[in-house]
Amino acid sequence: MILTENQEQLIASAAGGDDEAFQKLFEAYQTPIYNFIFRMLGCVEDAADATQEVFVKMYRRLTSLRNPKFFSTWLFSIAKNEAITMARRKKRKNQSSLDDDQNGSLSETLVTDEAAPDRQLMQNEFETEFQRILLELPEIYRMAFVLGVIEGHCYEEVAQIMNCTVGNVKSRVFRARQQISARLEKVYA
Amino acid sequence: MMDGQLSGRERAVVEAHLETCERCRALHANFIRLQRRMESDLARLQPPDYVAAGLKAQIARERERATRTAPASRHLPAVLRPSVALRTLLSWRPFRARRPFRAQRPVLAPRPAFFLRTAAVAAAFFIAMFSSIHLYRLVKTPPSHGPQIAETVVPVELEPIPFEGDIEGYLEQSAIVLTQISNSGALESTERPVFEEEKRLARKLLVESKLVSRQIENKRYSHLRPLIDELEPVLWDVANLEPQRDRESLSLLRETIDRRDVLLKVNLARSTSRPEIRF
Repeated sequence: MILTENQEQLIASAAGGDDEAFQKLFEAYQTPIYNFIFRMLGCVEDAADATQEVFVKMYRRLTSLRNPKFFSTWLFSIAKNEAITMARRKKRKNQSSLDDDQNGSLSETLVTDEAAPDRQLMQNEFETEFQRILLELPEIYRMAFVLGVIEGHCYEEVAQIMNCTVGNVKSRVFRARQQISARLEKVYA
Repeated sequence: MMDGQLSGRERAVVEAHLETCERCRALHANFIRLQRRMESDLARLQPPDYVAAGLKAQIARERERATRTAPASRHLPAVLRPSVALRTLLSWRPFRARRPFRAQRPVLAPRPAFFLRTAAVAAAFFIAMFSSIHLYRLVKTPPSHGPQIAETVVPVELEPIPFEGDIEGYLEQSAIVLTQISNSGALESTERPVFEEEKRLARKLLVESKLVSRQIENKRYSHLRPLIDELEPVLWDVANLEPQRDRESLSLLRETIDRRDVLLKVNLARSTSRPEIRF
């Protein structure tokens, strides 16, 4: 998707221990991976940690990649798993750090925490609202939307990353788009 | 349609529908507004610098750890590494009840045929098994030639025991003993033979005969083997001689020495150093 001409050669070199090739791959993919994870988690620190972990895993597993043509899909699959792991870890952490206040329900607290975007990086009001709405979506809708619409992957790639059919991807993107636009309409009505 | 992923025919169908359906047209308009807003207002974030720095440090740690605890199998071809073999085995269809990591292997990526994978696993298994057996045998039993001796048998010393005297001396003393026995016929009628000194000498020579036997394994003295073998029973007879009580045994011994020319052979062996002489 990003590297086309010498991607295979670059990947083969990186798998063989070429630091320069690995650095080029990192530079080419760090921004899309970081943005994808940030849109999934809504926190820059978590996104940075997860991004770093994704590339460490890439370093460890690059030799097991069978077909370099699918490098992008493979890397985003790692990122997807890392984002899910990070979200669950965060949820568990929040769960264990809850105090004895029984007034607020657990789900409300989690939604509030998860839906709090990193406001330092929000350039404008729209972005803040957009990220908040995005985090309120079901995870599979959010992932399909971020990968297919924001990151610009074709639906076949998204299906491979999410391990589902292209039809599923289409319907998830449609529902995500429908819910986001409806909620934004409410906000700006 | 929004993402430009429809074919020409599909796009025409959707556009025709939008012309007739007000609800879908409104939805489509909302989607277009959202798309434009996203394109204009959504920022592309750059990862902080510490991601690259942290990654570099972590990879350096990984490498250090890998070189410190590198398994011996890393020198093997990938197909022979236990980790690869195990991963191949676990990814085999019967063992893959669930596929939680399927997404990490692209669906469109060509997978090796089923029988190839099975053959690879079987080959890795048999190679590992036969290598283990071979290594075990190498470690357990040292290489040997000829028939094996039971481990409980204590092996004799491999190094020959050095003979303190020499073969020439052994032959000389044997010649003295045999000469005294041969000449005893003249004494027989006049005095009672004792032969104490000869008996003592014969016992000494018998003790030394084992050492002599080992020494004649040397090529230089190998021609003396028949003589030494022939000499030994004669020396035993001398050592056990009781001439006071059994005069007949003395005469029999004397006859044996004469008949077999033992004394002659010993003297001949002493007088010549030629190894070609055979008895």
